[in-house]
Amino acid sequence: MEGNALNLIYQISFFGIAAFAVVAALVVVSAKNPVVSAIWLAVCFIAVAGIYALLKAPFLAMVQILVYAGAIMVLFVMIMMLMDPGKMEAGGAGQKVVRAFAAAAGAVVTVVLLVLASTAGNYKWTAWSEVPVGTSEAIGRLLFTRYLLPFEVLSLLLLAAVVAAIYLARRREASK
Amino acid sequence: MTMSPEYFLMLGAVLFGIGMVGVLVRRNVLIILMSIELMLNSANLTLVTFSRYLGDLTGQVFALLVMVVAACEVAVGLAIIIALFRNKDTVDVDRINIMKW
Repeated sequence: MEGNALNLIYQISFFGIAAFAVVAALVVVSAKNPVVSAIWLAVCFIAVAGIYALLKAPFLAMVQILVYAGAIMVLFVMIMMLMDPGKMEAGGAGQKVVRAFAAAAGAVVTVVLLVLASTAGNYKWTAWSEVPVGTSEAIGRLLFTRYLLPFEVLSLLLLAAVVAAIYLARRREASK
Repeated sequence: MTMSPEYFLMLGAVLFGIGMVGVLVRRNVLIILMSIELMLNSANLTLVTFSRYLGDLTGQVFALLVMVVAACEVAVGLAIIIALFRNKDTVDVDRINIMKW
């Protein structure tokens, strides 16, 4: 009886958060002003963090909020503050046919993915009680044992990204 | 919680589709970059879903690694946008065509 009530709460929260995420994503791609897009992207990321929490991944949910909704969105908004607000909303009309085909292609991919996703219920999946919780301890243990090599490669990638970002964004006049 | 994985996967598919339409239809390079983030995020969501439904934490580790790659991509992408904006004074990708012939 109590299990049923919990299940209902779980499902309601999933569909609530999912609707929130989809609406936020739609605003992101349809907003005219990139700042509005950025704010709604942060909302979408926080909603996805909620979904992670529902999937027994509390550590990933927190990292999602810290890295995506925190660091990446601050970076986006900070770059926008460097720009002329009047020129930020560029990219409007033109090439109607190309855009119609692009939208159709996106719709086809979405439908194919939805059909693929709907077959997932046919398989036997691990029960809720047997799934390990994705705590920082469990994920850190995996990261430093089985997945040490990808972890180290990524640190190299981060270094390369830092160097590349500084090189690309520096003032050119100084070198001339 | 006995919930079928297809709803989570469908949410990932819908978010991916929205992001893809955003990349293909919008001409503002800032919004294109944000749509790419949306697509990466939906791929992460699928990884975490399979991590929970297969009872294996590997999917979550890889979602973490994808987040790092996404952060790198945003840093470099925004640096390129800054450099382009300084040179061309626009964020419209139709007007950033010096590599076309």
